[in-house]
Amino acid sequence: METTTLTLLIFLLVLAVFLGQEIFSKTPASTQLSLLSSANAVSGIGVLGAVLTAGLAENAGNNDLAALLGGLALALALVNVVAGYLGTGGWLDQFRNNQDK
Amino acid sequence: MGFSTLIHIVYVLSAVAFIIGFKLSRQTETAQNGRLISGVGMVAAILVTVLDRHVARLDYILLGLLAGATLGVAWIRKMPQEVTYASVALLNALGAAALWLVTYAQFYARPAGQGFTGGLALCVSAAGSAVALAGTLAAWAHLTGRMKPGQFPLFKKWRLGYLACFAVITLSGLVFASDVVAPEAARYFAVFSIAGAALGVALVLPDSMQRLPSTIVLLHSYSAAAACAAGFFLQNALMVVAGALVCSGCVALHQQMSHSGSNESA
Repeated sequence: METTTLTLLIFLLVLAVFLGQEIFSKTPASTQLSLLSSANAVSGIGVLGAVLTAGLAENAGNNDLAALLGGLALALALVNVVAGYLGTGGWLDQFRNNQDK
Repeated sequence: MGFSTLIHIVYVLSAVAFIIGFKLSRQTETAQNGRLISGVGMVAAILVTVLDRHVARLDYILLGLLAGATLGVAWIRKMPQEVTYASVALLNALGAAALWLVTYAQFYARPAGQGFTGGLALCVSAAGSAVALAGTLAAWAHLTGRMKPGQFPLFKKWRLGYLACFAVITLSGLVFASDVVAPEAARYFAVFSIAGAALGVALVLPDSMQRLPSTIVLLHSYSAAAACAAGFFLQNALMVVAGALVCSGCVALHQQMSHSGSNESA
């Protein structure tokens, strides 16, 4: 890995760590579960890694099996993302209706 | 403007969407909007990644997208409407399993391209996803009554085991990263993955039902750390940012839940 790329990624990492700490601290108890559900869906960002792995070139080294594993990983990660976002939506509607009553 | 510039612009916008989504998710009134904004950011990021020039074939990607979307929709129809800590734990286990598979596939396909930093990132990603996978599965089994922690009295005295697992992961990870192409590297990969899984189970089993929600939040931070580390060996900035955001955020949320005792509502 090039030093410039590594430095840039570490710089982004440090900034994101402080930002995450700031956003999540002092969360009201009533919204902790909804925030966790959103966080879980976003941590499904591994789906990008699965896409890059499933798209490895054919007939090069061990790429064929790796791409197959990437495809499997993509399916698993996408279940997390789809169910995380869509499932939370229905639940949030119910939660708000209950609060309004 | 080249296509790679467009990808970077979309990645920046997606990261902003995630941050705004988290901010809005803190309030019940705006949580729905936060979910939508964050979801749009995720879809945009997936689309531009599929069109990335590094993606040389689409067959497994299309199959994976089709299977994942179908199973995800089926999951929503089958599971109870209410989001619970058990359902979030089970979903996180799927995400962690996916990350472990990505890490192993990248190690298997091109260990020569990695070097020491890439090797360390592979170790953190594999061990972190193994902790999250085993831990969230154990937490889900505990919360749904499929497993009683009393069945494993050994784990109640296993706090020292955390240190042992960390030591094994650190040592085997350092040896692994020093020479990723060595024939025995696969053995070290297995060692830190198994030690990670043991750590995940050890984190959950001594907990009472009341403490489990905050432990599940902590386990989320491990899977997010794994996603962040995967961003390093894949050189994907959005994975680094999103993983670090969720990881540090979940640690903050875990500390808050542990101190306030808000997890009694579980």
